[in-house]
Amino acid sequence: MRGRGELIVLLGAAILACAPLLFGVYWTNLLTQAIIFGGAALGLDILVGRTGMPSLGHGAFFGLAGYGVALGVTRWSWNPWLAAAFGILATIAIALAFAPLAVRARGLTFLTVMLAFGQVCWGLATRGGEFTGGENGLPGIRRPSLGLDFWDLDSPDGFYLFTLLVATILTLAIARLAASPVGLSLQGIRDNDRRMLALGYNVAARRVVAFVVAAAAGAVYGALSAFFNGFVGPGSLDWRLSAQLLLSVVIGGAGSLWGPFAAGGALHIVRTYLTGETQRWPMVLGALYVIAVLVLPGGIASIGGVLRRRWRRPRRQAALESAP
Amino acid sequence: MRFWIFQTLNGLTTGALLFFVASGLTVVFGLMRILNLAHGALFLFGGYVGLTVREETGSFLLALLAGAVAAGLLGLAIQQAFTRTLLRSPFNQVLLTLGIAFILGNAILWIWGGEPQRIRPPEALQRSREVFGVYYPVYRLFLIVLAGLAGVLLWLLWERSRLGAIVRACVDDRAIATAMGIRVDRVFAIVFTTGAALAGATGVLGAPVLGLSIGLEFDVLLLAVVVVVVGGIGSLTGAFVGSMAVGLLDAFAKAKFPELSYFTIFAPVILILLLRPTGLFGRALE
Repeated sequence: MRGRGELIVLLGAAILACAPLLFGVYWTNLLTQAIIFGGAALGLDILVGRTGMPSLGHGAFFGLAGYGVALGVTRWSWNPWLAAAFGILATIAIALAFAPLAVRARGLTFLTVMLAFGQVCWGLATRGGEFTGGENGLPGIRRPSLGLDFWDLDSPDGFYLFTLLVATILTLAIARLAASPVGLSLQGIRDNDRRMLALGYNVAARRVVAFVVAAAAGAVYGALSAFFNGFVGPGSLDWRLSAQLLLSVVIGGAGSLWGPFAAGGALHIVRTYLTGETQRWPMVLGALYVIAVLVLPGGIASIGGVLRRRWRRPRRQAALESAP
Repeated sequence: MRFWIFQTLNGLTTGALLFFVASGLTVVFGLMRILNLAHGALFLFGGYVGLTVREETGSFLLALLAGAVAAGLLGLAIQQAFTRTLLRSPFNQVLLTLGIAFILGNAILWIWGGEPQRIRPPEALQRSREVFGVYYPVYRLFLIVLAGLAGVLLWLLWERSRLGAIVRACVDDRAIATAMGIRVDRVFAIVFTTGAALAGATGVLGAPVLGLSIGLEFDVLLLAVVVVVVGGIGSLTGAFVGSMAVGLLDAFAKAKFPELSYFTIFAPVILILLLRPTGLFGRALE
């Protein structure tokens, strides 16, 4: 079973890797961002879907890593690789410091604590004056170089493939974690945390693990996004980004991992298309959310089950009718 | 000294508006465990309806009434259409109510345009007068007094009336209340509609101070959610104390440390919730 899951991830990555051959620069860039947002949603699903802790502040980790990269490259003139490592590690350190406090809250309280955390980061970035660039953010982030002649990260195709590679590795790691005993214990905590406590599991520590894994994934994709755009602004810390990530998880089907990835990517593409097409895009997007809840309450990931039931019902009925 | 009085009054004004919005939100949440993220959009919708009525008829009172009725009816429609879906899972609530908020916000932009607007306060309250040695707009003083009155009225309704007793019973234990013959679905419809109407009226009341602009609905919503959770879910007292605390904190922080204005509101929130996860006046929910 586990081998099959990994095979599907690799197969999906292989198919996506062919995209630059088929599409132009526009679609390659769009897909790069779709993978970034899809991957961040997949990471968040460990916390929201698997562990049952809804966070409305996950964008903070995405944005913090971006700012870390931007500060390293533009303010301190570091090598982009060093800046990336700094941005990601600093974000993980912040998550690690905040997690033991945050996981004491549950449900809506946790959601609000994370919202407040995101707003604190956003507030500091917008009011940070010269240092963080304030409302204007920090432009001029150079992309790193792999030092290979055939793989240039400054080209759209090169960066797309690099993003895909990182996303594949990260997805494999997260899927393996989810299937491991630790990952399964997270589901146990979601379903009944008191019983898990009674069974002798350190529930708080496992919540911290889920929190930090989700934050680390967010940080990696935040760094990728900063390199992709060459720019970081307060928009990357806006609570709306957190909402978009949370909605991706819900629309995709909380806990299914692949659902949030698909929904996160699709949502970005749909949004980009709608923004270019009509001024009424928030209305269309809002309607999509409402329809999604009404038609697929279990998310995209439940579509197989829904179809199967639809398909099976007539057959069973037919069988009953034909029975003597 | 002037500075302190002036900022206290500013904080109380913000707190008053926040209380009107948060009280509806907290009771709906306490009653049905439904977090209505479209509450801010109802607030803005009421405000814009009030704007049109104020400009057409010239009457502030009519505008206030129209804003309340329009938002109330819309709230009732949402409640009737989606209650069953909302009760299915908390994730559905976030998705559905945020979707409605996006639709409503964009519809407002469509109907009234993107220009920031302002409702003129009632003619009788347009002056400033001296209180405690500072000159302060009468309209804002009126809002503070109104919040005090509304607080007392709501408290009486909550603690002393039959409807209040029924709602409290439902908040405490919905299953037992149902078994006692209380029609919880009707109570919920009444509470949701009242909360929406209150939000709509606040949109009109707040428009002379905050103005009306797209995006305001989410600024208000975020602060109201913070008030609800900090005050304690389902607690009107908590909503009142929380609103005033957030209002005052906001006023002083903006005046003293403008560069830290978000930090100073949300950092204490984190601290309070970590020390008391049920909020200041809340009890543990099952």
